[in-house]
Amino acid sequence: MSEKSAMVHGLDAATSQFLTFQVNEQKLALEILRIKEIIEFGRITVVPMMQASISGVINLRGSVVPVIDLSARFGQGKTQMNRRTCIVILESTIEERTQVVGFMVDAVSAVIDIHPNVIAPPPQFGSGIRTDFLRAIGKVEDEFVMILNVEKLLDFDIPTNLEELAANTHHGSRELGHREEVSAAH
Amino acid sequence: MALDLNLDAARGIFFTEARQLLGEVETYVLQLEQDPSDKETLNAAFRAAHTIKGSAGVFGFAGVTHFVHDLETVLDRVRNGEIGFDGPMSTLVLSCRDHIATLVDLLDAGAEDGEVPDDVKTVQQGLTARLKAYLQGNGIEKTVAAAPEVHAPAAPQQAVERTWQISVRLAASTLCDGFDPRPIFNYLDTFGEIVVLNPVLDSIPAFSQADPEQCYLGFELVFKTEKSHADILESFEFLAEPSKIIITPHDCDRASFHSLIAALPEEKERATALLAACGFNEPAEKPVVVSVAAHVEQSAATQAGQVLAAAQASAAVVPAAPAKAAPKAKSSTQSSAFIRVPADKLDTLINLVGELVIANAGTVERAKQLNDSGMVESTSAVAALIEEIRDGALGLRMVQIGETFHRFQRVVRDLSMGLGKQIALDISGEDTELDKSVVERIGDPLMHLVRNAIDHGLETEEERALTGKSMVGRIGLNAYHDSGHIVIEVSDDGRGLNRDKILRKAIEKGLIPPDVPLSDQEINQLVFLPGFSTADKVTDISGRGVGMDVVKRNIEALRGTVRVRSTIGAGSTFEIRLPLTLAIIDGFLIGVGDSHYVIPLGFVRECLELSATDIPDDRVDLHYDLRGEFLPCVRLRNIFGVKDSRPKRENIIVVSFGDTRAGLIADQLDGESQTVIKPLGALFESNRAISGATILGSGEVALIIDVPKLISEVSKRSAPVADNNH
Repeated sequence: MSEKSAMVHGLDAATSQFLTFQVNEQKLALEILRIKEIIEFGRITVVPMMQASISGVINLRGSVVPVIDLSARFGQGKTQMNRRTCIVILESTIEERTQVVGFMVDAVSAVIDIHPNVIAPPPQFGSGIRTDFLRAIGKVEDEFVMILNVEKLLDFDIPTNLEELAANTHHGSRELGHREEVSAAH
Repeated sequence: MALDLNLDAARGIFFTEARQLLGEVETYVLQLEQDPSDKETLNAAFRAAHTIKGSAGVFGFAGVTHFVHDLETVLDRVRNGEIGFDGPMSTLVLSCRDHIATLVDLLDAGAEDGEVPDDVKTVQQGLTARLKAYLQGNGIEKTVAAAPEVHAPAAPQQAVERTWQISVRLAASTLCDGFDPRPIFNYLDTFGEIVVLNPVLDSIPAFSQADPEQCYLGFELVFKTEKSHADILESFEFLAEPSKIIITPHDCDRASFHSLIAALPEEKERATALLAACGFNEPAEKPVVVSVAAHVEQSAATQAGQVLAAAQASAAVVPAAPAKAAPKAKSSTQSSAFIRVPADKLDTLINLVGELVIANAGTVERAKQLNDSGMVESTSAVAALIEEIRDGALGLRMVQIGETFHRFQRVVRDLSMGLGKQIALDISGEDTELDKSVVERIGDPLMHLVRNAIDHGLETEEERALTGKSMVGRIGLNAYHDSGHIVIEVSDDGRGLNRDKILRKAIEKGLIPPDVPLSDQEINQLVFLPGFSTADKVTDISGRGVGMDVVKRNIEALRGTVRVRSTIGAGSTFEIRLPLTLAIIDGFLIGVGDSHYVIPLGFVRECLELSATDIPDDRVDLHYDLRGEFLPCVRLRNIFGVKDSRPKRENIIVVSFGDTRAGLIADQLDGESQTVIKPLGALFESNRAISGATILGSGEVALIIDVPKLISEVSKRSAPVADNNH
C-alpha cells in the first residue's frame, strides 16, 4: 500500500511511530504524537452516575483528568488491576475543546515503527472490538496491531457494544438506571 | 513600527471608552428627562460627547467625529439655554447616541472609517437633518459651521470661510512621547484647506549635535476653513506642552499680529519673514473686517494663553490613552479612583490564589500530623492571611449590579413608548455585588425577562383601569445576597400567570401529557419549556416562544436557577439565583464510601447525626422526621452506587434551595473547606449529580455535588413515570 492509502485512514504518513499496549491480551496502538505521558495506576476518584467505561477522575499535577477504562469501553468487562496497569495520558478534542484524558490499559509494551505499507483499514469484524473504535490495523512482526480511533472512543453517544445498543433502543431514553444495570452485569 | 503598535492598542481603549461614555450619555439623558434644569448633568453629557469626538478625531474616525460634532453643538446650545431640553430632544439625543454606538461597533468590527451600510447611512441622514433643524433659524454662529458632511449633503452651509495663520512649534519630546504630528495635518484637511505649509527648520542644530530622537520641527500653515478658532485648536489638543500652537486669523488687527510675532521663538525679523512667506503681512492700522463671531477676535496673546491651558490639561496624556483627553481632566474627581486592568491578569491572579489555598491546606494538614503546636499555629496564621488574600482577589472581580440594572431604564422607556403603556421602573439592591463574568452573562436573560414582563405581564391601560389598578404599570428589578448566592428578581404588577391557560397551551403543544396532575409551582415552571408561548399574538417584542427556555439554559450554564412566583391579577416575579463567583466556592466536605464530595456551603442548613435505626430503609428516596417536619431524604451511597456496607452511624445534611428542602445522607462529615472549582470537561457534562471537581490538600479529587440537579434527578426517579424502569 502507498502512503496515500495511509492518509485515507486518517493517519498522517509522517506519524509512523506508535505506542503499543495491551488490553485483555489484545495488542493496541496509538500515534505517539498525541500521547503526553504514561503514569502508573494510582488512586482514581469514581464519578457516580456515569457509564461503567468511565472509571473516574485522577489528579494529574493539579488538573482533574477523566480516565476511560478501555476494557469496559470495548464491552469486555472492567479492567482487572494488576502490577502493570497503567494510564496513558493523551490529548483529544471533544466538541471542539481540547481535553486531556487517560486510557486505562493492562500493560504498555513499546514504541514501534509501523510502515505505512502495512497499515490497512479496520476489518469489518473479527477483531472483537467495534469497528468504529478502530482507525486502522497494522502488522508488526507477524502480529496484528489495532490502531485506535480516540475521538470515537470518547464519543459516548456510541454505545459500548452491540448488545447495549439493542438494549438502549428497546428501553428508550431513560438510560441512566439501565446503564447502571449494565455496569452491574459486568 | 512601534508607533503603529501603540495606536492599535490605543484603538482598543478608544472602543472601550467610547462605549462607556455612550453609556454615560444615556444615563445623563434619562436623568435630564426627570429634571431638565439639572445643569451639572447637562454639562456631563456634553463633556462625554466631546470626549468621544476628541478621541475619535485622534484616530482619524472622521465619520464619527463629524456626526458627534453636530450632536455636541446642539447640546452646547441647550447648555447655553438657547434651546430647551424637552421630550423630542431627549429622544433625538438618545437616537444619536444609538447611532454613534452603531458607528463605533462598525469600526470595532474592522470597517473602514466612513464605510457604512446603506441603512445606517439613512439613519444618519435623518438624524443629522433633525439636529440641523435645531441649529437653524437661530441666527448664525461659527460653532454651527457644518462639517463637510459626507453622508448628509442636505445641510445648507452658512458659515463664512476665513483664512487662519497656524504657527506650530513642536516640543523636542514630541517624538519620544510617541506622537506623530502628521495625522493632525491630515485631520485639518478634513474640514478646510491647507493653502500653505512651510516647515520652520530654524531650531535644527548642527548635525553632530542633533539627537535623532528629538523633534526640532516647526510649521507655518495657512489654513482656510469655516470652522471656528476653537475647532482648529482642538485638532492640536493632544500635543503635549511645551509644544506651541498659535492660531491667528489673517484679518486680525495690528496688535494681534504683533503679539503673534512676539510669541514666536524666532527673532522679530525672522518671524515677520516667516509670516510674510505665507502671505501674512502686518495689517493696516484699522481692523479690516468686522468678524461675524466676536469670540474669535481675541488677541493672539490670549489665544496663546488658551493654547497653554489646553496643552497643560492634556500634558499627562500620552497617545496610548488618548481617550482620557482634556475634558476628562475637568471631571477627574470620579475617574482617578479606578485602574483599568486586563481581565486575564485578574484571572491569573485568582487562579494562583486558588492554587495557594489548596497548597496551604496540604501544609496545614501536615502540620497537624506533626503535632508541633508552634508549627500548627504559624500555618494557621498563614492560612488566615491567604483567606484574606483570596477574598481580596475575588473582590477585585466583583462589580455592583447597578450598572446592569440602569441599562433597563432605557429599555423600559422605549418599550413603554412603543406599546403605549405607562411604566415605572423600580430598582433596588443596585449595590449588590457579583462576579464580573456573571454580570456579563446575565444581561441577556434579564433583557428577556424584562421585555416579557412588559409585553405579557403588564396589562394595557384600559385593562388596568377596568381592574381598578393604577394606570402606571410597575416593573421591579431587585437584587440581594442570600446564602452565598445572589438573587435577582424581575417583577411586574400585571395580570400574573394564568394557570389554566398555561396548562391548556402546554397540552395543546404536546409539551406535557394531558392527564398528569401538576402543582401550581410546576405549572408555572412550564413557561420555561422550549417552544412555549401563551401570547395570543406575536409582537416584535416577544411571543414567539423562543426565549424563556433560552433564559433558563443561560442561567443554568452559570450554575444558577430560575423560578417564577405568580398571583393571578397581581403580577409575577421571576427569581434568578446565581452563585457569586464562578471560580471558588465555600464547600462542605463529606465522605461517602471511600470518596469525598463537596456540597456548596450555600445550600447547607444544618447537619444531624443519624443512628442506624433512624432510617433503616435501603430505598433511594426516604424521609426523616425533622422536628416534626417531613424531610425527604436521599441516601447518597445508594444513588452513587457504593457497594460496601453502611457504617453504624450516618449523618444527614439538611440542604435547601428556593423553597425546596431535603436531607442528604452521608457516611461522614469532614467540615467546611474552600474549594477551587476544576472543570470536569465535556465527558461529564451530562452528569446529573456532579457539577465539578476540586483537589483536596491530600491530593485526592473530591467531586462537587450539584444539589438542585441531584434533587430533581431523585424526584424524577421516584415520579410515577420512572417506575416502569425498575
